[in-house]
Amino acid sequence: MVYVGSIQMRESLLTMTNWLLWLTFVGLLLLAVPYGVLVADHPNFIFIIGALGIWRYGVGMMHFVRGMMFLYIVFPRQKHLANKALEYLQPSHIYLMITSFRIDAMTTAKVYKSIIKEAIECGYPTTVVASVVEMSDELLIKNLWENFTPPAHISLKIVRIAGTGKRDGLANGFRCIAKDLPDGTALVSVIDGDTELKPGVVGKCAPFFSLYPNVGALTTNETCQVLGSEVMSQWHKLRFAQRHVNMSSMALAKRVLTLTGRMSFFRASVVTQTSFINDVENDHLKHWRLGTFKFLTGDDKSSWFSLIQRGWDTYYVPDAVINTWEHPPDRNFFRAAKQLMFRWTGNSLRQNHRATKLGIKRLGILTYYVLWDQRISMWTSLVGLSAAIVAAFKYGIAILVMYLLWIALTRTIITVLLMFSGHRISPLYPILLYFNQIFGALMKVYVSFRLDRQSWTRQKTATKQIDDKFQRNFNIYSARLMTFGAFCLFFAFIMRLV
Amino acid sequence: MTTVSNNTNIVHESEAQRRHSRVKLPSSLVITDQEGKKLQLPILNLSATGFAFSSKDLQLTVGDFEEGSLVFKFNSLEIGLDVKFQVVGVHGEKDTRYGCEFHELGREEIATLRTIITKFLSGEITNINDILSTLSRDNFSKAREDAISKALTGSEKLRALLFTTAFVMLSLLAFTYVLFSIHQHFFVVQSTTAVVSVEKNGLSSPKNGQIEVLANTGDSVTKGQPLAIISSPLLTDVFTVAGAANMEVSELDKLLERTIRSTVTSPCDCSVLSISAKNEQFVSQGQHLLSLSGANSKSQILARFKNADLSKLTIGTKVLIDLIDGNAAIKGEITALTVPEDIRLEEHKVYAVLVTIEPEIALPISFANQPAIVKVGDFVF
Repeated sequence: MVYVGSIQMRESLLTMTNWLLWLTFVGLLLLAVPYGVLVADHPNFIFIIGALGIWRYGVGMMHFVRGMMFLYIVFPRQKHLANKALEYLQPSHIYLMITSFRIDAMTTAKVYKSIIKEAIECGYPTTVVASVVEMSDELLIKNLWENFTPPAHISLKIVRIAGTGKRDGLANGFRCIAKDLPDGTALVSVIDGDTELKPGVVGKCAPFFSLYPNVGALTTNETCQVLGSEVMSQWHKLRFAQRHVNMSSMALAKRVLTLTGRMSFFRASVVTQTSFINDVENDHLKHWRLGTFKFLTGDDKSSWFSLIQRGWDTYYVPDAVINTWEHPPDRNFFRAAKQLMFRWTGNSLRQNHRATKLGIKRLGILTYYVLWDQRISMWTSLVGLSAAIVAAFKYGIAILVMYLLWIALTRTIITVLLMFSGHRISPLYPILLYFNQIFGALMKVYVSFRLDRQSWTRQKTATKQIDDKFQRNFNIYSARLMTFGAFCLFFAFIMRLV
Repeated sequence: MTTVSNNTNIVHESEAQRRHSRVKLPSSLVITDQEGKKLQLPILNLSATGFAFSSKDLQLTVGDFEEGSLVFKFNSLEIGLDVKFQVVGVHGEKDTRYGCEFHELGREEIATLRTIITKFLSGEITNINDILSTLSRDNFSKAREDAISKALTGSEKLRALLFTTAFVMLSLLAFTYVLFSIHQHFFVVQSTTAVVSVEKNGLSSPKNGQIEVLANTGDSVTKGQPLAIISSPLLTDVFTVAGAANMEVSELDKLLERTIRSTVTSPCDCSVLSISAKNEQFVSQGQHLLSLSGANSKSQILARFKNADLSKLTIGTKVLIDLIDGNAAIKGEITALTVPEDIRLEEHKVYAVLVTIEPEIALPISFANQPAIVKVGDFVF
């Protein structure tokens, strides 16, 4: 125990030192600001950037305040009501559906262990549906199943499909559940092959379906174990902390924007509908320039769209926690971040493209705005830095130093605010926040003109190329021209501004 | 007791194995020889990627492509697999042994071969049912079916092309603007103030009196043309004479009422630049009345530049002069550089350099005293 204690002490000391290092950097920036800059009159563009900043920080602040309201005031009350509602209306059956593909055996074993345990302990008749590709996974699952010897009301179904992608895995799993003819109160939990359930997740999620008849699906809070470097690990953790706040904010309006593929609960009556299964399996987009293309990744966005289109609400349960095992696709942080962001931003933008078409009436003002904001934010995120660099050339380096100081201070404040979300914070967060903003925005701009390009990180499945030669070449070259054009217009704006 | 070997230089047998195990499976190859005769030759051994046979009659060399069919006999039924192959080894003179590699095996052929070889290796007897069920099953994973993705139709392509072209045009404009502003901001030096200055003649009042202006600003006048009339009381001229003559008050009053009109005439054929006196105003002797500028008067631009830009300003430097009249800028050349004599003056900090610029074309008189912008370093062609 003493040994464990000293390790913890060393870790906290290290964190302290890192914080001191960061604060020293902020202090140095402060010293680097030349005397007189703070009192001299500023060029006009500072005011425009200031206005832009107020808008951007305002949006962030709104999410934060809404998120905190949900977490600390609204959710506890809703939870109390939901538990009461559960006494009158209980789910008849729980399906825990897991999709696995080429995840290392250690993770798979941990994941299935947690799921079988949860199935046994949740107290409802439960079926574990394993949608797998490899024979080895099937053997592993069967073995674990025998080890636990679950009681009679718990059953296992194995669906083996060809490795043609997660969407097919999900669709076949849903069809398998549909064969059982589940009733209106049955619930289906869709779980990823790298997601470990923390005990009690089912018991925490199920009551909300009893309380809100219009909630079609809900999603859960995520923490992660990253099998990679410290930066990679903090980067993932930061994302989850930010996600937590945003999800909470959107949950206040029952319009959570993603039904995370990692772990989400659906009503069985929803996922067993042929049209829903078809949406997940064959989701596609018709684009004015890129033609019609099928979605490969982002099944969670498809299920969200399908639900919202049908008029269901979506919800977030912050205290139902899952733990995911993240395998970064590359050892190099930047390459890994690039690959992951390419996938994430692609999913989000493909989704955005058509979600906004649902209209303000269906989505509500807030959601409608947030969706539009996702499209605008990739440009506004770049305005500050670009303007600061151009201004530094025109008016002197002091402006850039001032800008960096501003960034360092604001990101530190945001990091401290993230602490209230209940996730742990690290001195790397201010830097990572800014990295995400700039790198993410650049990635988004790049992807927004190449919506047809998508690939999994773990699986090299890529969509089949369209046979039409013109379309293939047009997609490549028009995407390049559009990207170039967009940056030209952006910089014309910056040059006009500064 | 176990002994631990320090020798790590061990190759496990399986690592040096053949890629595919070869089996001696009773089967034969049916092949047509050069003369068109059908031969049935026994297969020496068979693997998933090739086979070997021997023949006295065939004359094959390494690299030859051949076609034939592999025949397997199960109980009373024969199964023939049509195969293409390439000869990869020829051994021996008589009874030559040919090593062959399969080419372009179809999916059904691969599946059948695998079934037969695997069954043989595991000591099972292949029966016709196995083969039939192998053939009827889909043994390979396929690429994800995609009947949904499709290209744009003809008119949609045209529309996409048009929109993209329009966007690219717009972006090229933006690109030009970006380049232009980079050039303007970082390579062009601009005057802080500049004014058009024209050589001029001033006319002043010859007497005290009330003025009547006869010309307007901008008028062209000829030499000798009256420009103004000054009406002065006669008394001013005869005051001393009248005093000496001890004139009566009544006579003086008379004198006061009388006025002398003197005319101010133009000394040149020129135009009126400005008139500083107002009609019916009382002007005193020597007061500046009008500015005139001749057709031959020289016009210059006087501009102030920041001290920091001094390095780009030398006598002879070509500049652009924007007269802010909506027309294109005109060219000019720096003819003189001066700085205020008293370097202690506060203005020295900012506007130190006074630059005189000679425009290439003479400026119309109407530009006199008008502000201008002078740019150094801009494209002067």
